[in-house]
Amino acid sequence: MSAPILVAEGITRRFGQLAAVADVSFAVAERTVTSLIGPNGAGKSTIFNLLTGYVPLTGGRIAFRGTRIDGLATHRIARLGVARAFQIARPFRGLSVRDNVKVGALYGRDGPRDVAAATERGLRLAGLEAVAERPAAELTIGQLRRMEVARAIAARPDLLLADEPLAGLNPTESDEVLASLRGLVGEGMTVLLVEHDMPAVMKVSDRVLVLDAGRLIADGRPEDVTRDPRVIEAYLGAEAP
Amino acid sequence: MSARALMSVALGAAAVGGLAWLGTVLSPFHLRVGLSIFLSAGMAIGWYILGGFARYYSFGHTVFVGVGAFAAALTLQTWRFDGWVLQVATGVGAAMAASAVLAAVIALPILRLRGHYFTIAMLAVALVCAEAASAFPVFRGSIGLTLPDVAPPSVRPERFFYWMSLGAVTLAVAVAALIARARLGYGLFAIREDEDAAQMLGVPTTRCKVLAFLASGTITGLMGALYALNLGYITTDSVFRGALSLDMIVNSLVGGMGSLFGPLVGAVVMTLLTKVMLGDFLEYHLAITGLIVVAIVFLAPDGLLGLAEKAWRRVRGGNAGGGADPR
Ligand SMILES: Nc1ncnc2c1ncn2[C@@H]1O[C@H](COP(=O)(O)OP(=O)(O)OP(=O)(O)O)[C@@H](O)[C@H]1O
Ligand SMILES: [Mg+2]
Repeated sequence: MSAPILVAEGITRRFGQLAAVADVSFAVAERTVTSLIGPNGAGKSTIFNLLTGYVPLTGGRIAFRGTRIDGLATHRIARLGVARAFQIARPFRGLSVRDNVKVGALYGRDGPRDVAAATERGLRLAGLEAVAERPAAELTIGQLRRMEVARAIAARPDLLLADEPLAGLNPTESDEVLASLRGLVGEGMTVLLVEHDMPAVMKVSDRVLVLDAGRLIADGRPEDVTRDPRVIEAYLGAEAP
Repeated sequence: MSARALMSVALGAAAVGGLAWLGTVLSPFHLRVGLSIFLSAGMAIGWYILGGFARYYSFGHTVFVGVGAFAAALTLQTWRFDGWVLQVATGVGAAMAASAVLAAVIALPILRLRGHYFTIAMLAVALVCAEAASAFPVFRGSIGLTLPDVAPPSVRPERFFYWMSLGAVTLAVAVAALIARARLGYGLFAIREDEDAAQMLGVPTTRCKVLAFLASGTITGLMGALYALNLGYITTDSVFRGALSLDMIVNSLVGGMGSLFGPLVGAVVMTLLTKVMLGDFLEYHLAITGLIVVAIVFLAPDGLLGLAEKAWRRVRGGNAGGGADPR
């Protein structure tokens, strides 16, 4: 395996009494798809908020390519090559789909170079060419999700943080997005994926991290993780009434 | 340059050429109307670079008119040149430099504030600067300052200032249009739509706002210098005027905040309405402006251009889904 692109050491985030993320450590290997799974409220999105600098850590440290990034402003982290597709889409409603994606390309890792090409590629990989001229406000939920992915891809990140990119997509669309992500990993990108669709996670991931109530309870290959009794219990426990 | 951009530039150049030619035939009264429109359009465009692109509403933009006017007056009193080119260049240059410096000094503390806090902070800045212009004897704001008559003897002053302010508006529109097409423009639009999401996509939001504020203040200061040169005599009260700040905002709202045409259309309509048609009721200017704002907010939230766009879509039979920009 290649060197880790991202290392989180003992990262912690408290909201008052609640430890949304409690002393979590993991490393993400370059050119892999690593999935972060866990029941609702486990702290997955909070980990993305910590990695992107949107929410400050209350403990621990984060290194990207060997450099500390915790404490940096969110736009600096983005410029280093970390892009994020939000769980709840945050479109620029008044802009066209193409312009939304173009913002990603203009301010991503490579800055203003090859913006048009990066924009078109993002649109194509997310299957949004047909609606490129429409204002984002007119998109369906599924299209908005894909636009999140397109905007992040256009930034040409080294590390893509995708928060439930498949939610609300039909199986065909899901497969397309997964294939795009796999393709990008083939080209050198690394993906950290949060996803509830377990068959998809099992199919696409090189490695799976399991979070429960803010703690990391498993970390390994997909097939091993699904057999882990603690994981089974966390999921059953969460689903019991 | 794309074909569309080339087309816009050609149309813009033709419009400016036409207006410049009109300057040779219009009566002095109409030249003064044109001059008023250009000055208020230029200020509105200046305001729009931050207020429209990023929706950071400054309620105190008259501070740049005032600082520009005072900088022009004070430098032209200190250094007396012969010839209108040198005089105008000195006055305008001093105004732009002073506005840029002021913008740079207040930008960082004030643009860390978001939305409404920025709006209120600009109001405070304008009040403080107006007080300073009156309170410190060097500025002579309460007695007033006289500016030299810069129009060359061979040209009527109305005509001279008509052309000067047309040139300034052209510059303002060109700068604003370039910003809108540049990376900076996209950053500002992203800030307008969702500042946190913009930042997470890598937009250096503070830097974008500071740059826009610098451009905005400098252009408004330029208009302030021409405003002062045309008046010939200024006091604190005539150039640091809340009504000027209000006009810049109202012109953009009336025309529509969807594009640069908004503040232009708004300046034309509002100047004709308040200064020409209702010119005998100048003391009611603020009341009339207030009524128009209320009417716009309720009847045409996307401004006159938004209204026209809706009507156009209806005529063409498409469904009028409102503007592309529900803000
Ligand atoms: N800004 C915040 N303030 C207070 N509590 C928060 C905040 N953000 C998250 N939390 C809490 O932290 C916990 C983890 O939330 P998080 O959104 O990270 O979960 P998640 O694993 O992404 O869940 P889901 O699968 O539903 O998206 C939840 O209990 C949530 O209420
Ligand atoms: Mg979540």
